[in-house]
Amino acid sequence: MYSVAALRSAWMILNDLVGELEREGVFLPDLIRADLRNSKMVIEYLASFSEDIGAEDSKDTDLQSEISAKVMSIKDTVMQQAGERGEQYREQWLQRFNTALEGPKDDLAVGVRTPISDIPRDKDTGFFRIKLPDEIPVEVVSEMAEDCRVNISLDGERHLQVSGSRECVRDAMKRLGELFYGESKLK
Amino acid sequence: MVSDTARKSDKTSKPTDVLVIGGGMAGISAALGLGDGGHHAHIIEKTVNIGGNYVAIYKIFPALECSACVMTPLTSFVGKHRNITIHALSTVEKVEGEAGDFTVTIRKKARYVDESKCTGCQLCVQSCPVEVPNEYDFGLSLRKAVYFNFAQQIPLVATLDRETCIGCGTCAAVCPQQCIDYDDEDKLYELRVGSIIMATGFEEYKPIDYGEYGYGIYPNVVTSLEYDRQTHPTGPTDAHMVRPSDGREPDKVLFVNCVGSRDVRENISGYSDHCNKVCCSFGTKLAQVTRMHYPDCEIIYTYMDMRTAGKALEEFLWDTEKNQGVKFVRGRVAEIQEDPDTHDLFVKMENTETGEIVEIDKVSMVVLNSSFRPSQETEKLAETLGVEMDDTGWVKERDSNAGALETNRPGVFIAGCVHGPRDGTDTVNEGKGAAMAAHSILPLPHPEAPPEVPPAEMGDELRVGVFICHCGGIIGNEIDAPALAEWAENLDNVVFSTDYIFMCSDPGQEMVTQAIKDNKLNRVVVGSCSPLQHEETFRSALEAAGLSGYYLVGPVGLREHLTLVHTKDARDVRQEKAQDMIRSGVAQAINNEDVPLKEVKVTRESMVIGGGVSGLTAALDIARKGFNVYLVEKQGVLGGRLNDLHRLFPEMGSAQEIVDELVSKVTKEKRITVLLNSKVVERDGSYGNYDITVENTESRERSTYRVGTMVVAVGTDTYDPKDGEYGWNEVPGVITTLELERMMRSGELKKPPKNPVFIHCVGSRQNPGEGNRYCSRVCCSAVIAMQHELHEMFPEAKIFSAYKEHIRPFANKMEEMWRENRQNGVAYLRWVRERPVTVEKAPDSDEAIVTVYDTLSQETFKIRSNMVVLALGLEAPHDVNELTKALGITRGQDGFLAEMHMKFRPVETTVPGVFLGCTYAKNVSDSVNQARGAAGEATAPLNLGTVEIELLTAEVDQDLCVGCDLCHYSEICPYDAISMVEIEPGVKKSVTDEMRCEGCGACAAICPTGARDLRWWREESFLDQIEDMLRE
Repeated sequence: MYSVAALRSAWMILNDLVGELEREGVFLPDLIRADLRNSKMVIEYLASFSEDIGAEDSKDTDLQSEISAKVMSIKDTVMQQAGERGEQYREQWLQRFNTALEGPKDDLAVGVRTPISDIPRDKDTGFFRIKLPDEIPVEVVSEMAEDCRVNISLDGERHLQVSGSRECVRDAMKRLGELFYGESKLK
Repeated sequence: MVSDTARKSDKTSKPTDVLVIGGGMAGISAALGLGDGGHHAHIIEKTVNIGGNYVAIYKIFPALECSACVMTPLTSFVGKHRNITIHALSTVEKVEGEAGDFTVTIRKKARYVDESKCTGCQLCVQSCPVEVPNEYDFGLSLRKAVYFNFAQQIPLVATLDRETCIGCGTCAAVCPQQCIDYDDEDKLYELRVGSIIMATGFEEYKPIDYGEYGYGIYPNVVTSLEYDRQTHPTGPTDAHMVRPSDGREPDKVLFVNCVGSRDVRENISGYSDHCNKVCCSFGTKLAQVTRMHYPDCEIIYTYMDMRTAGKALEEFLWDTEKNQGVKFVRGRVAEIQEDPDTHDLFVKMENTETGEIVEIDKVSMVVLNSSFRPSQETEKLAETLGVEMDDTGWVKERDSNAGALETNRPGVFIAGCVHGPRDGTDTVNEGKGAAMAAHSILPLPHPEAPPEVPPAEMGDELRVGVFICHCGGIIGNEIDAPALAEWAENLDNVVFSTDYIFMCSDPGQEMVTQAIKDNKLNRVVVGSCSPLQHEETFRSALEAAGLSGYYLVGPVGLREHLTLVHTKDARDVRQEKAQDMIRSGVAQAINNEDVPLKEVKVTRESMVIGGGVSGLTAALDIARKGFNVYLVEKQGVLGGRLNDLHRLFPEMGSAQEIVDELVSKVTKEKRITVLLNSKVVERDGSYGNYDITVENTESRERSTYRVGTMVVAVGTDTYDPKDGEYGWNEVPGVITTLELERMMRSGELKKPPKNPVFIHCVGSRQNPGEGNRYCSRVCCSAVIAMQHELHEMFPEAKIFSAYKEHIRPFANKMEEMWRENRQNGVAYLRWVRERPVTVEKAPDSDEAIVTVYDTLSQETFKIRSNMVVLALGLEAPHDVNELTKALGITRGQDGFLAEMHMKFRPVETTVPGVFLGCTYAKNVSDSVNQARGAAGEATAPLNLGTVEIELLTAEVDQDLCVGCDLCHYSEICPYDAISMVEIEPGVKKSVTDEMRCEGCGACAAICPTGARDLRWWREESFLDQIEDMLRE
């Protein structure tokens, strides 16, 4: 029986492995992605409703066992196919899988949504938030914001909040994107 | 992209597919109506998932059921339906052709994600650096540029939002499956369909224009859908309503009604003169949900009139006010201010019952019950389709009464909020009704048979699986569900037991299916809601594993029979009862058996009972499809109630003209046989081939007609006032609304009446124990329309209207007519039940003196009148018991015919093949729409030509039968399914006609030897269940 975080972590290893096997041209059963998708949905249900499930100090051991069994079943299938790339390869991935199950290093949960009171609600006002890379000085961004005629603010975690008219915000988004990450890969 | 039927059809044959634009509740209902009848429905949905607004809200009024409990399996079912194709992220680009043969160009927006490869890992979402307001949470949270609407959405596939993507490549770099495709492009393709249904729904009005309420400025002022989203387990705040300013739980919540509706100010954007119909009930639901979450929270509800006009809604309002501690204040909030330090709110308003200015401070949150606006791009879509829009911004109906589901363009139909605000029940009815209208003009479909699932291995050993549902927290918060599942593992024959948050969800159903396969289960017990709600859902899960659905027990009612009714009991008492119920369920499972199904050919004819406007329309729909219809009317003429009415609101068209047009069509339609002066007295036969005996009420002659299905559209009667009630039969000049209608229609009203007074709610909204508790929904609108007419006839007459607490011009455009009446001088006086209106005879003349204490002016009026009009409530037809007995259908607590589920199965009865066109007091358009929905359901088996009948019938153990003849001779069998057969000379045994037997069990009860027993409901099973239920 594993924690939801551990299951999510182990699921991610399987997800990575499936991707890699496909890139390597290894045969995978048709429904393996659907199985992955379905088991992820179950894990997310468990994560989202943990408060309801964990109400009154009881743990949902059976449910977690069930999901664990599902993940293990997928693991068996995928690892079998990984064996086609050699026993050592399979062992490496199995080791990664087991390590993930023992204790996830990172919380892979989709970020908990926190109430943000600054989100504008009228349709004419655009808004977005983007993480300011460490190497970009704030002054550069301020100058660009002025040029784009948008309001900006920076919180303690270097989240840059940008608001203004929709067109201006769109323009700022494009320019900041290029500044931070280079030319857009979208056509 | 194109269904098999469409693909196979050549250019010369007419298509049988239908396009449904919009995947919300109306669209889903329409698609299911079509798909179940063999037509292929293409749902065009512009967003990433179907379900619309309904899937995003949590509880449903008035039963406070969990929307996810119903919507999740429903959307899943739609997704798996063989006759439904979902086109997500798609819009209609172009429409060519005409009714019966349209070619529609669809634009499928680029998703930039390979749908076949995405596993839903969400690494792309985590890595995306851009966050924008999340429309799905109404802007209360942020989402990434690549996103899912919620973590469990179906299908679980990411979408990249081109508008907000900066093309940084981060998501592509982290995606293990290499799903991101920056080169993806919109795709255009064509569909060939016979009809089109517009079901694009609504969006919530964002009350930025209400500067006095501070929406958009004060973070703790939210709209009702925003607040509802907070209550949802997948919402932005994990099912907790909290203040957006600081995430704190509220101590005091205030609701404001009529925001963006019933408001004629020019600065309000969009059409806002109307009553939005839904907000009062929706707001009341939110007040109840707030109470469920926060027992000590102060809840204040401000309103002008509480328009909870609908089935069970008046009772819901009563419960909210009297039992839930919600304080109702009549008046419109004038101003909201914020304390900038605490973000607490200050509310100022006039209490219009006391005339006092009320100032409420330290309000934690204000919820604005905001009205509906047409969905974005409705106008553009209407232009593409070539249909007219109303001046209100909604799609224009062909006729506001008889053709409310039709547009000006033949072959294009409408359902749900695309033509104005309406609630879930009406939306579902309209979806079904629009499906009927849409496919009635198409040829018969020829759907392919579903693929067969290999049967599961049954083995000799009993292997029971137990599945306990948390039902979100409804069950899970009241009992220890995991402990119950663990406990069940130790029961005899149980080899597998588990629990789950939503057993009815897609993953939950898959869990059941997979567990059957993995553990070789041959019996399944589900502990959740009720068989009524989800028996079919779980039977499908069994059948997907190749196990007969009859090996299911349940859902054992852990919700309905335990957690909803034992909230005040000690926790261990609840847990013990849960164990008793599951133990009993397992005992039943052990005795369960497969039940044979028999496929029978359907008699492709139908019967419609009720020759009013609803019945006439339903009969025409079915006949247009090519099936014969028997139309049974108890009166000597067709037309029903409309024969008594003068003009119909809201357009004030002639009732007679509608009747004449429909009767003319029916008379010309060779497939319709009209049976006047007739009533149904008996139903015989079985599903698909009912023998219906009809008696002529004049000659008493009886005839029998064989039909496949039936529609019951028997309408309503009016309440019979008691002698002395508001002066009835005692004071001269006291008449009913129906009598006034007749007088206006016949033209006998030639002189202006003196001070006519209308008294509302006569026979409606009565106190508990005094009569009809429900609101009749139609009377206020009817009264306002009559007053409008009366004013036009006699402009100088001073008209009074005494309404009881709330006036409810509920129908479309009736708020506007009410306003016009007031401007024309009609006086509306508000009275409360504690100080009722009295009507006495004037001592000096034959006039009445009506005494009304008007709470608005706080004055008592004594009005001398020679015409007091009692607005009579509506009731089920007073002879409806004869019909229910004849057909074997049932009535609800309110006396109206009972449907299977008010919101989701509103036309089905407990008798297969018998559908309801009228289940509550409704106006003409709502009645017609429901009847068309019922006609749609009745047509589906006729389209397909066969139905499956479950032989849940009485069996006879020939060894135990002594041939006493009691079962036969006593005539105990109501269906005449028993006969005595001589099996050898002088030895007779009892035999059941399986096609006639309805499985009522009467014969099993009377059999002295126990030879007669019911399949699946065997006596032994009951005794075992009871024994295990009572076991210590």
